Amino acid sequence: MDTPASNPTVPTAATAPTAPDDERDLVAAARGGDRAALGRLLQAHERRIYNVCLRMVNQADDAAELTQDTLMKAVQKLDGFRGDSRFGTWLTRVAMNGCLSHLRKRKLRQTASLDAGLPGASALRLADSLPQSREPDAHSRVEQQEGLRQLYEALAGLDPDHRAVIVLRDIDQMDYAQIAETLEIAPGTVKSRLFRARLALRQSMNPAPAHGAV
Amino acid sequence: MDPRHDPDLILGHLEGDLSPEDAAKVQALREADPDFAALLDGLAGDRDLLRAAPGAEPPAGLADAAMADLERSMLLDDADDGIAMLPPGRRRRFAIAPLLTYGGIAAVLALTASAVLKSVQPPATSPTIAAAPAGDGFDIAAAPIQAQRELARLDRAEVGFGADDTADLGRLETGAGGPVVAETAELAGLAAPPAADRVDRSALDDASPPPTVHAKGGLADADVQNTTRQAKTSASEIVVDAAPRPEEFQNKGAEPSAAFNNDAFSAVPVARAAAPGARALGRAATFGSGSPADRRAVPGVVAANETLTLDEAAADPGAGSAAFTLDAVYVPGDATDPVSIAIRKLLSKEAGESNAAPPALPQPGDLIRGITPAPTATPAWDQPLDPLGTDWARWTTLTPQP
Repeated sequence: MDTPASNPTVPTAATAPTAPDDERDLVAAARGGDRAALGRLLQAHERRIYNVCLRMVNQADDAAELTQDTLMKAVQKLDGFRGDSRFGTWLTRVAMNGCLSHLRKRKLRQTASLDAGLPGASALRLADSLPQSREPDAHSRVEQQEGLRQLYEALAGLDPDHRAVIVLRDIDQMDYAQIAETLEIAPGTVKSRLFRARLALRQSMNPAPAHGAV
Repeated sequence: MDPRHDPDLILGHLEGDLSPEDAAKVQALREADPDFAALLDGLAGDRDLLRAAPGAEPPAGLADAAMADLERSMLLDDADDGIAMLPPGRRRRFAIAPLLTYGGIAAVLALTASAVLKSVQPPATSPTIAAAPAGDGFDIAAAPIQAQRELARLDRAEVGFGADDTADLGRLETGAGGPVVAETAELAGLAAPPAADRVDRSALDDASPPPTVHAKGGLADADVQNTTRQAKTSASEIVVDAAPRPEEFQNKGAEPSAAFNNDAFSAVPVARAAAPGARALGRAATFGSGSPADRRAVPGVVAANETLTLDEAAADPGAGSAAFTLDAVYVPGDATDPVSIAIRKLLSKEAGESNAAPPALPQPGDLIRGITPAPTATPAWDQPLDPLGTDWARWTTLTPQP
């Protein structure tokens, strides 16, 4: 389990490391062979991509390797970047594809997909999630760091598709449209998947026996 | 549906994008059902904790390492090239067994295909290289020009090459009837192309008066100006003939402003953006990053034209793989010229397989036609061709000039 170093300034998709205009200029310069521009471009996103990878694969070494792999692919495929999306979104898509491929290879599907199932399955699981008693919330009883550690463990246990949508939404702080573009799914699917992912995460954090409370 | 099971309502509450009416509905449900309220609080707590979590610090220098790895891979020989492109961790895990297995299969297939091809092809005295037309007045010094003129006749386009840092040219043309963006340069010390096609790059000067531009196509004025500004030439005339229309940029997802960022071959991305199947002339005339300081001419082979096919369905997002063939004008360098060495190796290998006498080395100005890079070779399309990074041994098809 990786405990992140205390650094509150990690950039996110929402707080992009480079302004759009600057980024466009850097991409153009990099495509024109400007090595310094390429370096600045990669360094601007290096940390954000690393955190996305880290939360996806939950292993620091693998995350570093995937990040480097992503950056190399970005250099190799920069010519194919058409500018339809922001460079950061495109880079995140490359990283996310790498992470998902990595996870498939590791066979880390620890949790059955909540996307599958019969109609109404979400309602059943929602009912299962409601706590039976009125015990104090876990976050009120433990240190925030311990809560975060548990949360990362729970996140690592989610289905990769669900993990991806939470990582992009809560850690990389993308909006729905960016998530849809990154994962190449419909915006409506983003919402439903995010709902199920949040629910699954909550269940992992606070497992409750199935019951018919609601 | 019980509103407590409504995903839109719950997610909307968590994301803060409920209408006032729905927000009031959720609030009422919270007050009526403490368990539901606890669930919402738990979900919100998870979200808040993740969003407020400090980020992890990556190992130092990941970006630098990635760039260094790529640069190193360009300097390694063919055998190491594929491995060198992998990140260090991957490289450690590189297994030799699959390489041997697939390499063996590929070798068997290649030998079989070679035998079949040789059995159906008539013998040729010089199977790979055809001399350029030697018309009146042809001599060594003028050979490349003669060859270019021949290619121009064949392909309705001028071709060019670089002899030194001050003499490079490119002229791009898409398929028949397509847009053309022309940029030509003086061929230092060899011959002068027609005046209308000349750009004297030895007089690069921002203060020079702007060249006259003829835009015969739909290229927007601003883009034409951008072209000439980026070209930084003092040419008396640049012809932009049937230039791409703005919507062609848009259709290909390219931005005109980004297409003119390389003063070495500013028109290459333009042609690429304009249409698949674009042919670039003179691309191999420079070698390096494309910046003037790093640009130098490549002796050996100069691309005469290329047929580019963009693979829109590339597996990696945003990636496009370029498959193309090129014809080339042979411009000999010195003994260490990597392209010349590669050609000599290839010719000797072919001669050895056919038990024939080694064919003559290409002569200055000879045309080398139909060179096809291996599928594994995916050079960046808008970068100068890099002979050191190219697996020349796999550029196997050198066909006689018809």
